[in-house]
Amino acid sequence: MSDFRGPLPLDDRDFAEVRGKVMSNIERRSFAVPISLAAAAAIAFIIILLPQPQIVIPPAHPSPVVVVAQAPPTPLPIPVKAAAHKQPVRKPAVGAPPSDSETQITMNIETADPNVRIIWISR
Amino acid sequence: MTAAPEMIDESETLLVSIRAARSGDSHAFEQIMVATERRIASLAWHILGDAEEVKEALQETFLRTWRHLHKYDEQRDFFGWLYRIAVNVCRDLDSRRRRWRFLPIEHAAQAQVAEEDFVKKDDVARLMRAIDTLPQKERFAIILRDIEELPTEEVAAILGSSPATVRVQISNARTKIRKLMESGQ
Repeated sequence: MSDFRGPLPLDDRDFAEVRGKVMSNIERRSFAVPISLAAAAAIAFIIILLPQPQIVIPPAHPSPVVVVAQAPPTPLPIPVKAAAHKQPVRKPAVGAPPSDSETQITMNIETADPNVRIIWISR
Repeated sequence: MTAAPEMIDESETLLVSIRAARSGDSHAFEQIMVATERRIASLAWHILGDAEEVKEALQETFLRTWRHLHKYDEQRDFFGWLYRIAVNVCRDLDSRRRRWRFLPIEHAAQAQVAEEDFVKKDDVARLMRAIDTLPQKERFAIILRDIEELPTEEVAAILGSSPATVRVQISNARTKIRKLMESGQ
């Protein structure tokens, strides 16, 4: 049964041809890989060497203390009362006696020492 | 008496070449090709039955082997591993060829007449035709088992199936071949 297709129709020349194709393919790939790696490395090197825009980093300052003023709590709405009536200022009547605030009080306090006497005068 | 030491020597030489090729030695890989190409070509010939396709399969098999050589486990049989790659390559080529078989009607009729004339020549041609008409899985199983004379377990490993499945496939294939041969088609 092993000869059901007859003898192998390939000779040494066919095998050499196949081998040659395989080898050329392998060598092409073995060249292609280092070349692509070298190209990638070169590109990376160029990118590193390119003048880059200077990025100025400001010196580190101590961060300013920010005081956040807390807003006072919103006062609850106070129930509006009826506006207080402004008491009209009564003008003193001409010739009237001075009011209590204008009355001068004099206190004469005697101490145990008969030579010392406290006199307190209020206005 | 000298066959066994020669085989050991051959497999050791092959292993040295494999290790060298793994480290990028293309000359060592060429030696691997020289050592294995006839067996792989024979397998491809049995599966494909076309000289040009055999050359294509051989080339693709070795390219895949080179690419995946680092995955080869030295504890396993190298030929089994290589056969597996070759079978996969032949499977791809075979699937592609079967797609191309959908020819225009007038060409198909001519091709069928020519094929029938050829088939009537002798039993070998009938056997070949019978095997070619089998489903791909059965065809590969019977080629590897009955033509390449590999053990069922190895055939199963190459095809990625279980030995039980391979046995069933071979049994089915033999029955179909027998029927085709008896019917004289």
